[in-house]
Amino acid sequence: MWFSWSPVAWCCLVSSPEAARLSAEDISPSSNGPKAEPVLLDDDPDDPDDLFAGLTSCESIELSKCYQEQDIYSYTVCVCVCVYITFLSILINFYVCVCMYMCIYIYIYIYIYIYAFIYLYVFFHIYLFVCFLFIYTLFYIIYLFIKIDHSFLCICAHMSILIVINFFVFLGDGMNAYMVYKVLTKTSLSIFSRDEVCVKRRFSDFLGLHSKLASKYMHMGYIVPPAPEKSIVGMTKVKVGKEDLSSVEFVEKRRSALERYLLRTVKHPALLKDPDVLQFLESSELPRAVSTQALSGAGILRMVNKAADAVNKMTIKMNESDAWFEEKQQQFDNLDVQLRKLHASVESLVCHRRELSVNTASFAKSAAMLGNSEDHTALSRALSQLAEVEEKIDQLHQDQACADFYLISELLGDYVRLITAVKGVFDQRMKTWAKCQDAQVMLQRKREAEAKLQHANKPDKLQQAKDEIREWEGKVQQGERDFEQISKNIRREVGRFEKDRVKDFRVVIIKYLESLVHTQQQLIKYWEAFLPEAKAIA
Amino acid sequence: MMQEGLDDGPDFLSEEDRGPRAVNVDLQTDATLQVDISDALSERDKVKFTVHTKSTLPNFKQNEFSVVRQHEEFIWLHDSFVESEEYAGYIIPPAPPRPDFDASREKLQKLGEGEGSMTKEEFTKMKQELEAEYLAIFKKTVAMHEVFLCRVAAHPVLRKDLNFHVFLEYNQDLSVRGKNKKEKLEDFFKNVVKSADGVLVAGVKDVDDFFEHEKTFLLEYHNRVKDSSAKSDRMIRSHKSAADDINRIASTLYTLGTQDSTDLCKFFLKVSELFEKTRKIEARVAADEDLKLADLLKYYLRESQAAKDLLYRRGRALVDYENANKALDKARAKNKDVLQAETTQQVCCQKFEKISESAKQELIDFKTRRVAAFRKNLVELAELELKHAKGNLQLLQSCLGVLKGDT
Repeated sequence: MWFSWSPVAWCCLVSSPEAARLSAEDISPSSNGPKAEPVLLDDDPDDPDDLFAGLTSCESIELSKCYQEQDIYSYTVCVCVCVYITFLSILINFYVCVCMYMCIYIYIYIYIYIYAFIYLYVFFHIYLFVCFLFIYTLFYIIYLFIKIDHSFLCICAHMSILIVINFFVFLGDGMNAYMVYKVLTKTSLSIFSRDEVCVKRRFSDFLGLHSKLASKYMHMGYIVPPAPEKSIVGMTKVKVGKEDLSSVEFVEKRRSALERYLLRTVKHPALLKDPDVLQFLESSELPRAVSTQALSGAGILRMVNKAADAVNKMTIKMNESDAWFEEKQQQFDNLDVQLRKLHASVESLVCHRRELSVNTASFAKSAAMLGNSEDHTALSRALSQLAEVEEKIDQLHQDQACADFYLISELLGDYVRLITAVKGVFDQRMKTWAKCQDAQVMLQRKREAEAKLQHANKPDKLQQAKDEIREWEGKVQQGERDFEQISKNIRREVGRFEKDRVKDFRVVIIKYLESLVHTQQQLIKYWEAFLPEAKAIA
Repeated sequence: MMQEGLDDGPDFLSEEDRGPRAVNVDLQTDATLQVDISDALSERDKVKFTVHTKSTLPNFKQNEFSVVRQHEEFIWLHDSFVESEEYAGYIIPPAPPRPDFDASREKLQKLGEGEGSMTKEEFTKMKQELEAEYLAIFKKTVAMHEVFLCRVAAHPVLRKDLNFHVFLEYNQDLSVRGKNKKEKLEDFFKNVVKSADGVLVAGVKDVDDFFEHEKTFLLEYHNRVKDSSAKSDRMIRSHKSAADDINRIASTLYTLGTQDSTDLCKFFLKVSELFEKTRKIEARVAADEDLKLADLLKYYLRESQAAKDLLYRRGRALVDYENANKALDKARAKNKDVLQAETTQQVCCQKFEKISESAKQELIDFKTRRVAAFRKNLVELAELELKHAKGNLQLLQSCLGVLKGDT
């Protein structure tokens, strides 16, 4: 059942009214591979370049439903029009016939004209028939065209991108087996080379993409969405070939997490245009990202870097000149704490609801047996009915637990990780500031050294010192510019992040409440069906 | 530690006040003898019930009087019925279970220890909940004791018992102590012997079809009721823990709402309020299920056990009768102690017939009572579930309307 949630729920249809203008202006990615210039965005707080200012995922569901509906709609429209024209033509034909016969009747004594009239009449009808045939075929062609190209009807003036991760294949064998996911991208954006691309990717490819993007963009202040986490336990269970519920769930969970990850990545206007992302979505062969393995050289280097970063964070004392940053940092810290708590409570709720469904099922069975052994017929029937009601309720609880999980729990998990990414970006800013400070300290020292050399009167060393001072002055300026840039970027990114957060939470919570409403409605239905049975016990 | 009166209740439990009083039994209110528990006090590890009697029977000194009784005295009364030979032919109303506040007390203690780790509001909220739970258990145990007394008072033969009258009237302490370890051990051995004997007796085929059918039926029914009762308890417990989770979610959402600076803050506050209300409803659903379903099953578990005991006693009497017959035949054959054997045989025969007669009536009454109780409780269960689901639905829909309207 929960299969149905994910593809529909996470199709993100996005619209860009100005994509045409944008693609003309953008820095075309060079084809030198991963070393290409990262794409910079104009600094505009209102973000007219935001390709995704349009739809939320809620609307996206309605639009993807609208695909199917438009199909039926266009079909019925065409059929109706054809039928209408047929009747119209018959009517016209009939009317013309009558007129003709009237004419013929009046001019019957001019019998020579009968033949003329007859010929005219026949040809006129043939002409009408051919005309209408032409109109029919025209409509049929239009209908076919509409059926094939949905986006034409659906989103006319908008450009869009749609990513769906379908199921996968298990390749390899034993412990070296790996899951291959089919990533289908449907788009009408011009930066993509084709309208529809389907590629096969492994989990490590996703991690590789993330690490590349992080190394390119994090230090500039862009919030790079975090990739789903590795899970050795889950993967091992699946590899071992257990067909049980938990491994199926694990695969589904991972698939939907990867889908959401890709959608978030392409939602970011700079990341969408990044050549790595384009390569990931389009090229059929991707170099294997070995550096994402936990025990590789790169993995260990990452861990060492993380430890060094943690130590640095504690030692750097930044005097924050901008109150906005301090406030935002505090906010994100609080948000992090609360979201983690909420996530834990929701996970516990999912667990208890699953337990409730299991217990309800076993109670239903036991009530059925009790009903069987009861010798009063009406009571026995009522007890069996109770057992049936409880069984249906148990199914309901299970569905509700899935909804809890896939809607809220996963969203919260994603946001907990996103906030870690946001905090990382703030830390980058601190590092930039620290570098700037270090450069200033160096400059100061060089200046002092120069002053000392001036007194000591060593002309060659003096020249070297002057060169070094110039070099460090340049560095200081660069550092300050970097700091400015990263601060600007962060402000814009945080604004965008907050907007997305508000949208996501609102949509998901409303959907969740709707699922709760549905559960209660079903409960009412079941108990209403049971009540007369209970009353019927004599 | 906690002194509480019966009518001290938070509002949401007050409408169940009437419920537990006549939860499982359909009683004919008889003006000649009316018994109820008008008050109860919970002390450290004892509960004191005030048993109030209204009677027009001549053997009572007054028409209306009250005494204070403890749980052990109820047990004493029940045991006196069970042990008496006269009432062998009747289904003895099952004894009320011991008031068990251990679980609740433990939770309160844990809450007290964890006070430092949670916010003031959370602490007060959880404390209120625990107090409500304590109160609910308290009310239930009072109701069970009352049902026991009412059953005895309604029974045409048992109500005339002398011990019962003493119980109702004697306003000093009955000096009944709970069984000490030695007696409990004796009881345990007696039970083992009894169950072995029961198996033996049950093996004897009965001449009477009605009793044979009842025996097989009761055995099966008892096992299945036990199973259902256990499973329904588990189901209700997980329902309660799910409701607790919703409580925590609501409070976290509230904190998120107060801290958030974007448009979401109003959103979160509204949703948190909604979850608080739905949690209350879910907790009441669990409580109602507990009351109507689980208690019903538990009560009939005990009643079917009492009915099985009756059948056992009858079986025992039948075996004794047959043994007496055999002894009489042997004595006639040997022509020794014939008179004695005859008298024993007569006694056994009378006993057996008396038991059979009353047992038949009792078992038929048991069935009618059972059907009526199930009907009443199942109907009430369905109605309450519907009521709560509708309330829940309305809350959710109104909140959804407000939230959608805001966007």
